[in-house]
Amino acid sequence: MTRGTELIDDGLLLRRMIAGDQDAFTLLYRRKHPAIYRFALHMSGNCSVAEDVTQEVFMTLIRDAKRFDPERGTLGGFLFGIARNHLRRRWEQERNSVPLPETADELDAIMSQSRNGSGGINGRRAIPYGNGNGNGPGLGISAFPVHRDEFVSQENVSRVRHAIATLPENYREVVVLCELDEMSYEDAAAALDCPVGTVRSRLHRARALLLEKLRDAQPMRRASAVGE
Amino acid sequence: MKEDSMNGKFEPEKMIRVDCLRFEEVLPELDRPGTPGAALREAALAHAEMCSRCGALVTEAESLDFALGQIAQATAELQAHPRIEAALLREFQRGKSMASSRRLQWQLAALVAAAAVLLVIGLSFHRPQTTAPDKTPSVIASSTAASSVRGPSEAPPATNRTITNVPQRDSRTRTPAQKRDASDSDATEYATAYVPLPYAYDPSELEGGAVVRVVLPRSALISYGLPIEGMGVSEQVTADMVVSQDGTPQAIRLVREVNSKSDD
Repeated sequence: MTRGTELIDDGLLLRRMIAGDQDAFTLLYRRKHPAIYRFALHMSGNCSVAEDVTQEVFMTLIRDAKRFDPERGTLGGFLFGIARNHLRRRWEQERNSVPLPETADELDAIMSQSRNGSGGINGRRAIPYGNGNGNGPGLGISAFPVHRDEFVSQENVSRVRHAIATLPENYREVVVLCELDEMSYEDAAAALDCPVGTVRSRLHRARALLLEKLRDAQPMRRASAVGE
Repeated sequence: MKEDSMNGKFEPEKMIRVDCLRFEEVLPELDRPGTPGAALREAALAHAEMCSRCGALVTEAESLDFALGQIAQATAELQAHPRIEAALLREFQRGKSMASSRRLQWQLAALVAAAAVLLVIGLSFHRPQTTAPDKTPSVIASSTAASSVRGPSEAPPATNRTITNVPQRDSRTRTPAQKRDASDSDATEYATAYVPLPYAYDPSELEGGAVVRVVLPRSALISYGLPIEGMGVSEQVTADMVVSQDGTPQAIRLVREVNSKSDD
């Protein structure tokens, strides 16, 4: 995306898209889809689900773009809302089919297999550490700052991922948006269609729950955090 | 404490004091700009250095932040597969073509509706024009013979003709005999019954026709196939002629004024 196109307002792009401008839709998709995809990926833990949800979100935008009301929120918030609805629908449909990886071992397997470039477990696509498209090297674990005790570091990351996956949905959403996508409280509130105070309180509670879960699992080693 | 530059004494630093409860509140926000936690960062860290329990919380929070940061970085560049974009573009093009065909259908439907409306309006204007003369009976005086009153046998022209246009409603409900009766009620003149002309059509087809008062030479009656024996000696004869819509004479009756009767 060029610098010029980044300056084009979402609303203008949307209007052009509704008028039938395919380039405007492409630009809008490329601008908005990574956040939606990551959100769906973190919420579901599954690449296929994340891709399906992303596709459904933008299909909805193509078919029903006029439903978006700029006075009610941002376009990002509108798209996140659609993504949340799709995810909830999926979870209701697949309540008995274990949509999320349930154990830390499984998560570790997904992460290690994806690092090695293989295809995930149980027929599900794993979270790739490349750019997700198979085009180019992407960012792998090896691109992170090297710690003396990488194993401990990976163990902690794995435990944290598992703890996030087992959080209640409301708390998982704010952790994904505010911590993993590094959104501001305001943007997260717009995406979740709730007040900023709610985001803040949910995030505090979510972090407290995560720490409780991690304490129960195994005491975390500060050494891995500070690169001791 | 810091040294006062004026008198060399140390004064307590003006810093908001943070207790354990407040520390736990702001701990998740210490590194989040624009939040209350970020504003209290220095004071909170100072408290953590003095409080072992809060110091342990800082350690846990840092570990958690580190792990979250690693996950965030690992997934920061993730994007959906390009096939998703391709599928969406196909759907977009399909929707666009469907929308344009739908627009075309609407335009066609609107065109058809407009044509129908125009047709209805045109018919409603055309109908009054054709029926207007029937609604307002008029009397047209003409001193010349019109071809419309001539029969197919090229009857001789009538002179001093008076055409009385019969309202359509009347012509629909009246037969020539009824017209005679109506004329008979007129006390100023005497009239015979209508006699159909030899080439006349079915009288029921006379709807919309007219009764024409004509004055014609007696010899013309012969050309209409009427007997003239027993008639007056006058050379000119007054008659009512039933004329169909196309102007063809269909029936005729002889009329005589009462006072002229006495003359005869």
